[in-house]
Amino acid sequence: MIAGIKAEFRKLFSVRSTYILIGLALVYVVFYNFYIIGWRGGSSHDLVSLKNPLYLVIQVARARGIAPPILFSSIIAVLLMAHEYRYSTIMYTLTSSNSRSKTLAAKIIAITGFTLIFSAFVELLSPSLAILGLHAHHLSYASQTFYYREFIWRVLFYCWAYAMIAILLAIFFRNLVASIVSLFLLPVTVEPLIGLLLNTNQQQYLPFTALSGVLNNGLLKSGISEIPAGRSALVVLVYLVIGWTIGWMLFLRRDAN
Amino acid sequence: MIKASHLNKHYHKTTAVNDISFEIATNKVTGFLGPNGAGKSTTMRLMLGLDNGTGFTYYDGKELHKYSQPSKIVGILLEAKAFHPTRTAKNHLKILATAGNIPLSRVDEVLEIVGLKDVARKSPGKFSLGMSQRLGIAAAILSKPKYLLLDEPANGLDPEGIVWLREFLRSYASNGNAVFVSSHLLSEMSQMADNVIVIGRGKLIANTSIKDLISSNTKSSVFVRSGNISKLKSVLEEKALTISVIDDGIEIFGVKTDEIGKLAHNAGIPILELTSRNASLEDVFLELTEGKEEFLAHNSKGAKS
Repeated sequence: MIAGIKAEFRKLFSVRSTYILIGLALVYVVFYNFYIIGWRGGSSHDLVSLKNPLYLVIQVARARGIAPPILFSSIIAVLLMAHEYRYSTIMYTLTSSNSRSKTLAAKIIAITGFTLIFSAFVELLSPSLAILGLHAHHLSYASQTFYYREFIWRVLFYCWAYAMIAILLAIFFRNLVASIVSLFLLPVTVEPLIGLLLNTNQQQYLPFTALSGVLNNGLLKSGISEIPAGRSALVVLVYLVIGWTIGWMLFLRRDAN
Repeated sequence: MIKASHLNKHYHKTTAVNDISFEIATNKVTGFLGPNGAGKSTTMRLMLGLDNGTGFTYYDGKELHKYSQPSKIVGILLEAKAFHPTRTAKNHLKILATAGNIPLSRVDEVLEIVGLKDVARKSPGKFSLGMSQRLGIAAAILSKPKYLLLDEPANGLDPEGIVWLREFLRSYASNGNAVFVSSHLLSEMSQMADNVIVIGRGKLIANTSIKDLISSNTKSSVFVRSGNISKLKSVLEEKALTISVIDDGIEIFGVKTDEIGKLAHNAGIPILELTSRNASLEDVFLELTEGKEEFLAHNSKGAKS
């Protein structure tokens, strides 16, 4: 199992696409936090924002700040699984281990490790860049209140859950293009369409809406009765357990091609 | 020894592998022959547990998943291009070594063996088919496994590469290992393999040594030249043998040279030449698999060829 995990990390860091996607994610993080939140926010002299002790938490943790870089890291997760089928290396991966469950567990552990480290880095970098951007105008925020525990678990859970959904899609489709397309389309087209059939409260129990709720609920005044972030996380976990039960069975039973 | 027992695989209404059982002995190269679509690759995948079918395959009496490190028992080459195109050849092998708990120093050794040391740090996406096959062979022998399962490893190799592969596999097998190799290059197989397993439409057709397979073929014949062809012909016809008069001699099917020599001697017929003509592996293969091809080409007049 340990050998399998090490091999998965080697796979992750021995292809160009991993570095390109990490680079693109970091470009976004710098652009959004340093330029949009820090520099441009500072130049607008929005004193209300500057004096808001929760300003950075709201800006950085909300989906607009975290979601795009995490989408890139989720694509890395898709590639780790889908490349196995695209380039037929799955036959080596499966014959290296005496159990398909161990193989899949090694992949999940590797992706979880990578995602948590990456998202923690983004989480640390984002407010720092925003503060730097504002300092370029010789301004500073009022003393910021970071609910660290709240801030950390929300972002880490969001990133991990997104990566788990990404791998799950790759297991379902075993096709690179279909997996990536569905990763983009499900939250922005399929789920909103389903949402049209439901009322506002019910919509919060849809998987991607619940996942956004983990980040946003309780931070912004949305005007609707939001379920707590913890309950949103629970909803996402239920979807993950159901999805992964099916995905795991498929991985064990299907032909490796 | 590898023992495959009652392997079966069905795709909806199609039977890809139909109750195949065979054994693969150590110290030998065993060829695996069959027309396109006969089920060779599927059989190999079933033997490795990559496809879900029924039946069992035992490696020294144990199924592959009972070993803690299956890659140390069997090395595989099922597809020539089974690698990420932008991951370097060396990194590709390092991943396999890491997953199999094999020292990374072995990676350089196998790259040297297959002749890819100079391109170890290049991405294999632009490798020729022959180079890709060499990388696949390097992956297969990485853990020095006792068993090798190779699917068409000679495809794309140049003549020098084919000679190298033949000698390498024979040498590998002779060290107490077993090599199971499928190929469409029948002439190559006849030089490489000791035993051969032939399948058609998912069914086992033959499982024997190359020598026995060829000698038992109905196209094996004896050619004889004599100073008295007409007398010899009538003697052979009296014995109801299948004959064919060719130029200045007669070809007799289904007999051995000894029998013809005795017949001619008893009849007092002088013999100028007595030669055994064995069918080629290709002749045998075509005879055995006749009517069992999944895909057939047609000539310009629409007849099957």
